[in-house]
Amino acid sequence: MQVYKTFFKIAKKYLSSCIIYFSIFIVLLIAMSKLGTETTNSRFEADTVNFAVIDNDNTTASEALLDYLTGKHELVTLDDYSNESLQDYMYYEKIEYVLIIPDGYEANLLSGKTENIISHSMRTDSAKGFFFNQDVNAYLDCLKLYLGADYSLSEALDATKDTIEATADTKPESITFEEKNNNIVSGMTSYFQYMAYVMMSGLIIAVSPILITFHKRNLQERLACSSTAVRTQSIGIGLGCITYCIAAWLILMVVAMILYRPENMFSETGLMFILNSFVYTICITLITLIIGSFNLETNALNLISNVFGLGTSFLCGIFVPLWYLSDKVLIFSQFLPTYWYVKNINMISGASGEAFSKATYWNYIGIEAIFIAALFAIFLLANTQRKKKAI
Amino acid sequence: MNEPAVKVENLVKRYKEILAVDHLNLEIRQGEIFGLLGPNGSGKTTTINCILSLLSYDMGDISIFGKPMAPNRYDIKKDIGIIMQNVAVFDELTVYENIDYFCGLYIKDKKIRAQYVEDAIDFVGLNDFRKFYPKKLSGGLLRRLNIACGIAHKPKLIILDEPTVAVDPQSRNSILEGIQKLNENGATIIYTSHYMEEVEQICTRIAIVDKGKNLALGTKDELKKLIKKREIITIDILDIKDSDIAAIENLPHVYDVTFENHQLTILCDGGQHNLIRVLDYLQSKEYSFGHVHSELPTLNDVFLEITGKELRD
Repeated sequence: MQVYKTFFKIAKKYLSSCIIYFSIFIVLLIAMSKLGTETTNSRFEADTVNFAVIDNDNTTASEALLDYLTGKHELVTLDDYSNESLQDYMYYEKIEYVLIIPDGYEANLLSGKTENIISHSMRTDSAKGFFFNQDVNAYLDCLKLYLGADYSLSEALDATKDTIEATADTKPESITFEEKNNNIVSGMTSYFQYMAYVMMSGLIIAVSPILITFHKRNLQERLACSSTAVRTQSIGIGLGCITYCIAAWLILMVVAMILYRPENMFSETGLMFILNSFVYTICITLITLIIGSFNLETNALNLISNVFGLGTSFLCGIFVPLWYLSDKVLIFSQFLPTYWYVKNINMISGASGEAFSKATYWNYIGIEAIFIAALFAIFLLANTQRKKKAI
Repeated sequence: MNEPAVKVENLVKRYKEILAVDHLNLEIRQGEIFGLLGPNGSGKTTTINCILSLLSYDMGDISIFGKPMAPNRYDIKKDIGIIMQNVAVFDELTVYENIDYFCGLYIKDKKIRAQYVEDAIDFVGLNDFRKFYPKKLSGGLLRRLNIACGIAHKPKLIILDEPTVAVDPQSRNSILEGIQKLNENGATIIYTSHYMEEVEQICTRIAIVDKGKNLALGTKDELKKLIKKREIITIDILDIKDSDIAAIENLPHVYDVTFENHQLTILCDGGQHNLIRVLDYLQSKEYSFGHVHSELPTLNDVFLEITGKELRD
């Protein structure tokens, strides 16, 4: 108990720098997680595409298609429809999509031809063209269905219009609902993702100096001579370290509760995030204990904190999403617990496209637990070596 | 009969090929201030570390207060206080917190501990500095704090390993007085140093060690009796004939006479009134002389004669 209490007396001396460190990080973390939320919002906002049409058919069918698209997007009338001009307009972003309805479009529809009955040109660096394409395809698919069901052209056009409009009417409601949840999940994803960096850097900076103080050679000799068993002292120091790390984790959880409301944090998704971060916190605690086993100077400690914090953040998908990293990097990353922590977060939130599965979730937690066992073994080894070197 | 405070029998400690402690035997009696004197690298600190079970050793037996010492003998360790050469305190704790922490490793009862901490602060005279952090203390005060941390739990055996290295003379005297006071209060002291004056000043018995061996052991008078040189007489004189030097060499108890740089040095192996006999002879030969000095041998002379080298080599 004496050692445990003293751990926190010493911790008080490093608390001010620790508070500054954590506060800055929490502010940045909140900002980053908010930023993540807004990005997701804009992705789901209904957006219009500026498009131009070259209608060489001029039939009822082509007009109906145009009518439908004009209702959803912005039809731009151009002075010049030559190929060069169209490319210029697209380059200067006046239009993003050119729909070309060839002569015989209606005839092709009626004859049952479905492939390549229209053509288009679009900017390849913009996602908007793809959304526009989706709208065109949705319309044509629907129209083909009705025509295939022996509807007359006018009946098929009317039925397609009704169907598409009915679908459009129901969409906004479902999107709004989905979006609400997605915003929170997306925010929580960013929060828990960046939290890994805060915990790694912050705890190494805050806790390792305390451990190093206890492990100074002169003090070790005096402590080893005392009538309190070395093991009891080590347990006191270890418990102090664990308490400190868990307290830091709890503070970050409270901040998360404030940001994302308790009902979301205690939802199934929220609890999965919490458990994942708790297991990861144990990993960091052990890493901190290992670093604290070496008699490092402050400068070396700052360097290690940055190398570990920034290094794992870049390699394991905190700052750069995992799907942007090369296979070679990912092979290396798999040997770091942060990778599995982030991978689990991505899987829970669906950010990586990996299908969610509880079995996979527990698999990833299990892998983190294996890291805990390995880190604990390294800690014991480092501790034994330190004690041998101390004398 | 009291058990010896520390008994070291046939201790051998090797660092690979280097023999740090070579079949060392020591018996330190309860209540004495025992000096372990030797040059740097002579094996003093290794011996202390073996006694404290901080180091394993290759051969030998160590017992403290009659009980065999081992790393897990916490019942023995509770009676030992250790003050190392380097200051070993927490920079992050105040003077009071430091003493309380180290005392707390031995004394669990809070009330008793609080009293012991107060006693230790009083003893080393750090009352005005109890809320100071070590970095704010001068070198001397820091040494006092180091001592307070080692003795706060009122140990029966206190080991001081070169506690006065790099300490100013005033603080050194204060530390030495403190050690004597601790001994008067009943503690057995083991004091290692390569400063012979300190050892001579406070130790009741002294062991001279070199190359891990115990070369001589006894009180300072007993040690001085071990060597031939008992008195050194130096006389400033302008010049002297060789025949007179030979005549002085033939005086009783004189065994060596040298004349260099107008200084006559006469070594005597004991006896009394050696100085008077030499001066009578010089006066009889009508030599005029200046400064006359007679000194008894120091531990350095003992060391020099036993080992053939200066203590501070």
